[in-house]
Amino acid sequence: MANVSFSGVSKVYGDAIALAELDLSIAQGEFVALLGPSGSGKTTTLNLLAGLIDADEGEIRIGDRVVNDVTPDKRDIAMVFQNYALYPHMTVFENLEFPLKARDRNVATAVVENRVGTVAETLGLGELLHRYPRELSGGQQQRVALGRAMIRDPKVFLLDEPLSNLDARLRIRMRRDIKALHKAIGSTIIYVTHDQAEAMTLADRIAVFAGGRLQQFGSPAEIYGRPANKFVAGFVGEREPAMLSGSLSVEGASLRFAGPDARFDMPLASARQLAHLGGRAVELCVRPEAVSVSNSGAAIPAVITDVEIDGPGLFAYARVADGAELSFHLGANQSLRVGDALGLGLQGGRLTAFDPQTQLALARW
Amino acid sequence: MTPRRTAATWRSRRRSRRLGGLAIDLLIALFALAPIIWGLSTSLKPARDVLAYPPQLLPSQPTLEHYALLLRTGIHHFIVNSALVSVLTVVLSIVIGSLAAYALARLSFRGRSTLMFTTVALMSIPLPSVLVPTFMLMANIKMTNNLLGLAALYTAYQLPIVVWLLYGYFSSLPVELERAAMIDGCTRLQTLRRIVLPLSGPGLIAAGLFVLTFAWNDFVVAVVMMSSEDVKTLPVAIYGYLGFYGRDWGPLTAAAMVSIVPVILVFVAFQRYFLSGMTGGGVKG
Repeated sequence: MANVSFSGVSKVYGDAIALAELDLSIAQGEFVALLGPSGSGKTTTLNLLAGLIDADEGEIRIGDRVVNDVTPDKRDIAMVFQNYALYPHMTVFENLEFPLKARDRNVATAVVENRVGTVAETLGLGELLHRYPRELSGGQQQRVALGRAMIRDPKVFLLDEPLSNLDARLRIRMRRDIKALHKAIGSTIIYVTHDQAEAMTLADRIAVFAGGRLQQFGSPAEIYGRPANKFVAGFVGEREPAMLSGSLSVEGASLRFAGPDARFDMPLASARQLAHLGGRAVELCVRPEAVSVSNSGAAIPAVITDVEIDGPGLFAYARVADGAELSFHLGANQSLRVGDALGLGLQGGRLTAFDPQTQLALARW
Repeated sequence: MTPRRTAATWRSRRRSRRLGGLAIDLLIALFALAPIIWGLSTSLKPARDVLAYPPQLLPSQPTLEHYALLLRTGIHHFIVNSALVSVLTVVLSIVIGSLAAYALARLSFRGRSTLMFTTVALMSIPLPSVLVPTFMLMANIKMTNNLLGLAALYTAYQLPIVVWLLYGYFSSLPVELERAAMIDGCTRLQTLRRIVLPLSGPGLIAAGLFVLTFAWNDFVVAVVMMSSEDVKTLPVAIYGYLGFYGRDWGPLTAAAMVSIVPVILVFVAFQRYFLSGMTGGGVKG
């Protein structure tokens, strides 16, 4: 059963389309990340669901109820904001109890204290209950914001870039905490982020947005391994892939790619599947993990242009004969220097070709 | 030049610059305070010394006889009138003004910018130009010689500036706080009361002081609207002392002193908030 669904939802600001005909269906208890660059429509989607802005078209449902005309306070949701939005004139305790008291003025003190106590314990806020938000560190404020969202038992949690104001270390720790939290409470969580690593590590499914449109909705593995279009391929992944324009043709036992800035042959795994691409113009997406150093005769000659330390190993950029630049990871025990000449091989299973006009994926092998 | 001497030079330069600034401040203060000092001095002199030549700044025989006269002639009655009107005006202006300012700052509705522009434009109409028609209107609905009527008029005059001040203040608050409150279960009005207003203290105080000083000090409107003795406000009553026993400077200046004390006290009490309120929202989320 879908817990949250959008059907044909659009939002327009003047001439700018913030969100175009969104169809999205999120299951009960699912952790969904809305991923995209700024202005892609992901935050618009979240605000529409929260009721902070009104949809121009389409229908939004939470549970069985159409909520288009329901005010935020009646939608039974909780939200964590990017800047936490803690009430500065209230202590941590007052911030935490606010959602309970705002809904029911006569709620019993014992109930409030019990609930605040439980949440404070879960998030390790026990010592901080009588402090004001300005007296807390960023990570502590973040926890209070999460706690305020958890204090009721809402149908849906909305998190708007909740970790982007934290430093890198803390972000990774909080990421794990949020994941553990989801496991513990089992509620539906919708999480907006522009950080693909966050989306990859946290979400059951990722919705990738660009230019106000949903590009792809699928599990992290699907999004990464089977990108629906060129944008998704480029946006997801730690390192930017190389995008090469050219045409494909089948030459005996190999597939030949020929373009203005790169030409090479690749081993042809299943020729039949790719036969229809013969002679077709494509854009080839080459991720770093598809590239490796090779000594075979078919290797693509290249020259190293840059080398970075990447954790225990290295990350290298190499220019091929016609000018394109490919990048790849190297193990810890290898050494390379700028200017070194070497051969590169492409591994099957990690390459995707896109239609240069429609940008849609044509084939992967 | 050694670094030590450089530092010493800088220190002495800074000191002389500070002294210069202090001298200018004193000059300005003296200029502004001179009438008040003269008034205070006159109010403490016996009647025969008031016009003595050369004038004495410090009365040789200080006396409270003028203040005693004020009490005998019932000045406290006018003080109460003024206080009632002022407090009522402040309450009305802040309640109506904050509702209007919040709507303009946060709700989107047709004609919002026109309304905003009209509100600002209203501030440029000189008060005396509408005084006669206003008097006719007030007389028609029998609201002249009525403290509530006067407070309503003051509220009408001061609302544009109150709305403008509070609009600026509300707009400067992080909108996420209000969004969070609405998601947490507040209606718009509850959000205003529980989140926006508590965070707008300095803005409310600045607007309140603005209105208070106007209502407390106003002479022109009050003298037109209030003719009967029992509803006169303090500024109108002070004008009355001018001709109490001929041209009597003593009671007049004593009454003036009485009228400025409450305003000064209020400003001293709230000056910290007043400054930060005028310079706009300093609340950080």
